[in-house]
Amino acid sequence: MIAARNGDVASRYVMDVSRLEDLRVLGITDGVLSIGAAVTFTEIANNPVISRWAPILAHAAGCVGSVQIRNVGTLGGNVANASPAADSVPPMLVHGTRVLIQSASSERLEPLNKVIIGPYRTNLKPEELITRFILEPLGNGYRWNFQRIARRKALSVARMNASVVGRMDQRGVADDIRLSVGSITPEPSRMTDAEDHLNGKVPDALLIREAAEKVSQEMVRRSGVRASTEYKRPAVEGLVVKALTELFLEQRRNA
Amino acid sequence: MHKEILKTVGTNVQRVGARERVTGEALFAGDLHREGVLTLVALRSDRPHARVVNIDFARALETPGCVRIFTADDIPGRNRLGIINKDQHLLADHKVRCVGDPIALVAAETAEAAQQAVRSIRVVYDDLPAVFDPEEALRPGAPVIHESGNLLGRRVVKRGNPDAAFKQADVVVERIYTTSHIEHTYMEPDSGIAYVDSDGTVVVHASTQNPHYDQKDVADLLGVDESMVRVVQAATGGGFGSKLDLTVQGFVALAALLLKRPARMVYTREEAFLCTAKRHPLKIHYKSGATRDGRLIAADVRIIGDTGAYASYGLPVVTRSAVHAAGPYEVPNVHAESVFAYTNNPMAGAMRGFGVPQIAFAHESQMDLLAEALGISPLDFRLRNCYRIGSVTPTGQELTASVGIRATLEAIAPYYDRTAKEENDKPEPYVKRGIGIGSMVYGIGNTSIQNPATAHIELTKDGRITLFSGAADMGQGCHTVLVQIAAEELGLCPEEIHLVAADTLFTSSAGASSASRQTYISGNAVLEAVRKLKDVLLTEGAMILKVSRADLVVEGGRVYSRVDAEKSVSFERIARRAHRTGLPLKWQGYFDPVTTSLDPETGAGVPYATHAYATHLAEVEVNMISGEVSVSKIVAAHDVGKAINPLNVHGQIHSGVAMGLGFALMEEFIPGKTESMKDYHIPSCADMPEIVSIIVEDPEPTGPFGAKGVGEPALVPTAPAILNAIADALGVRIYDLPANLERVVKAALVSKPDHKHFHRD
Repeated sequence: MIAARNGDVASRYVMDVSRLEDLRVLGITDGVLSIGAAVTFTEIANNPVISRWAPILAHAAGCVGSVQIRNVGTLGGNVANASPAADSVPPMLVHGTRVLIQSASSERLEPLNKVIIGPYRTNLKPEELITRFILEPLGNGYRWNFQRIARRKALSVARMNASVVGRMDQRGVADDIRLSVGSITPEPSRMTDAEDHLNGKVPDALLIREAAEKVSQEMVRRSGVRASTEYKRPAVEGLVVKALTELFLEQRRNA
Repeated sequence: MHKEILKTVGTNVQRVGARERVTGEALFAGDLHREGVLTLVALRSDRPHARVVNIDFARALETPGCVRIFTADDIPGRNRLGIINKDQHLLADHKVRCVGDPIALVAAETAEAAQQAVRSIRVVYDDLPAVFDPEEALRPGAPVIHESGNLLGRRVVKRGNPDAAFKQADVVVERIYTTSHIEHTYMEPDSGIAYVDSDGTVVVHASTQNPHYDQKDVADLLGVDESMVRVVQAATGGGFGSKLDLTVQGFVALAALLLKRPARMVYTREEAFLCTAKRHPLKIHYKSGATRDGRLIAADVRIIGDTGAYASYGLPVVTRSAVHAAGPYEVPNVHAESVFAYTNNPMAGAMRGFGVPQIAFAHESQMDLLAEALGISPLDFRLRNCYRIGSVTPTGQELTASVGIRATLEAIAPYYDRTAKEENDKPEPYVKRGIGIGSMVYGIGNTSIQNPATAHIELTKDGRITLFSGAADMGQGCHTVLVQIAAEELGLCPEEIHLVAADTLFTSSAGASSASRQTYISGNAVLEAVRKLKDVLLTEGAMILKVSRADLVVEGGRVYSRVDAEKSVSFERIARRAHRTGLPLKWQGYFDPVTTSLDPETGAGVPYATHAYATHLAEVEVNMISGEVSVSKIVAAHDVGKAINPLNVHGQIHSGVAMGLGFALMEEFIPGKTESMKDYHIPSCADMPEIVSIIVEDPEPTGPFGAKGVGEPALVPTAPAILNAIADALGVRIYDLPANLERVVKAALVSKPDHKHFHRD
């Protein structure tokens, strides 16, 4: 709407899709969690089904903007805008989210990291609409942790955010760790090097630290060294250390 | 001082206009409607420095709903404006000097039509070399921005012999500090509406801090006599200095006069960001020296400032930053030199503090560095050096009364426990706590120039009181204060005073609402006017009651005999009688603080008649891994002389803390990049700390009921206190504002070993 007001986007019609029933589905069917593209952040943050099966997404949705923004902002809008700082994207990536994209004549189901192809860029074609997100629900025994850095405590775009889920067996061995960090790579993705480094091992401070360094190495490999790297390298390591420490060490201690 | 018991002064009377604002009845300029009103939108330069070769608006004129497009050629008067230096143009004549310079003005039936027409105007530019750094701008061969050269002004303040003193210093600290452009981010973007009255007067209702100045510049632009322009301050949603400049007023007046139709202009937030004044970014080279026994003996301060494309209030900032360079401390040997240059950056102008928030960041950082080097606590070091009665300032002014700096330091002292942070349980291993203090002195009123205020008080025929003041209230509360002063002196309740304010048709000038001056200066003008009227009331009362004038008191709308309470006469009866005899019942008050000009070579002189003082204490938690700084507590002690309305003083302090916190941690306007509140962060409610605000009253003998001012002082010590607290937490100091995520993490990475690290050791 801002771009339209500035005259940067010219279109003859603007269609309000926010009340289309098909875009507002929400629920577990056949073992998958479906969330319509027009479901708002407020609804996601407060929904018991999402809190049960995707608590990290519910938590992240509650961090977006302000109450007013959360009341009108939708999951579909967040993904279509494709901001690297989008708070919903890392949580959806750790849920293996696929995106249902429809047009009058076609339909495709694509992994989320294939839909967002760069900062503010998607592979959506003209006349295509994101209608639904399909998430793998988090099974029993999984832990989750969401971290966020911003320039102020409310009403702020994330400078960086991190989502991690995973589980540990009774011996403390980590398994199925899924980690995604926002705002550090051109297109969103899982941090597989770090995940592989953790899986099958008992996390301790050193292992966590090594995993964090793998994340920063991947960031530099994919984004190059920029002016912001001086900040982002230590910050992303710290953020991942904090997320993994809280996930494994502090929750284990609390258990 | 005033030994009598005060009834209204010193109480929290309800703010003038509070009900209207709470209920939404208050009308801001954008709310004002006139039949047939046109919408104005300006076409602005997207080039930082260019000759304007051609403006083609033939196609734009064909836009349905477009009524007229104005360029510089249409301005009937002098196409020049500016509060001090007339270096701005309402519409660019030959060249643009910064991005955002107005080139053409569209008047249209609707906002959509106006915007569409603006987009259809084609401007041919011939780009000129541009310069964005003030030091580069002053080098030979730099692009010339104004014909008079790129130097805006220079101010030197000298006292004693700093070179000799530095040789005797046991400790010398030398550092460079920088601050960034800051946008005022007032809640209400600039707005105004104008129309031509039945008698031909151009009437402008605007969001402004300075209606009488607006009147003069608008009249000059239109080429008409000042009496043919009336400026009325609409309800105004904040100004903080930016609304001292002329923004929409000239545009709406021009369109109304030439089209004989009402015209309205409301800036978008993006426009307010793009083309209104900013706080000056300063680069401060600061060297200071002290002796082993903890005495400051020398300061050498070199300041370079960027005024951007235009001067606005730049000259007072040049002077104020130099005059305040040594802070609220007695320093016998000082050399301060401030040089500001024009660049092709956005114009910088007045912003709450006129350069003092920037220089206070530097002098307070130096104080902590010296204290550390000397092994003295920062609080003790300040107490040893702070001004007292009899102290002499760097300009050679002897302070004779109302020097409350020590009292503000003592007020925060009980909260200043540097060991507490160690004992308290730490919330997270990577979070460090710190505590810091910052102090300041602030000269009340304009610097070394006449800056009088006038006010009128009238007893109407039916015995009621009307107060006339030209002072604009942008939310800081000066209208309430002026009414309280009048009510106190007349023995009335504040609600019995009818206020007419900030309308050039009915009020005479009170000067600008700037420099924290209205309580002190307009307050005194009101007091003088009221005393003249009171004199008439007492004299007339004595005649009517046939009692000695000395026995009379004024109270509750009557003149009473102190001796015999039965003997009294109402204001109304006095008014009727005076009216019959032709005695004037409207009186003018005038006050101009006693100052002298500053010597051009040494800066010697008396720049201000009185000074406000303050100390803030900040407690912070610094997240070592993310760079996030959470300010948990601010204790703010302010010597205001006398709080006319204590709740209002507390409100000013709270707002100053918010603005100071933003200045310290997050606010940074990057020319060419920052567009709006989406990429410019001011603190949210969640960022606000617990605030303990403490009012210190060291009465000013020349102030109304002892009052000085607090508007700008409220902001000044916050950032220094926060930055000193961050340095305390990290053991590493940040020299550039804001202390954002990146700078804090960078500092945390080199934090000293005794400041334990979380993930790097």
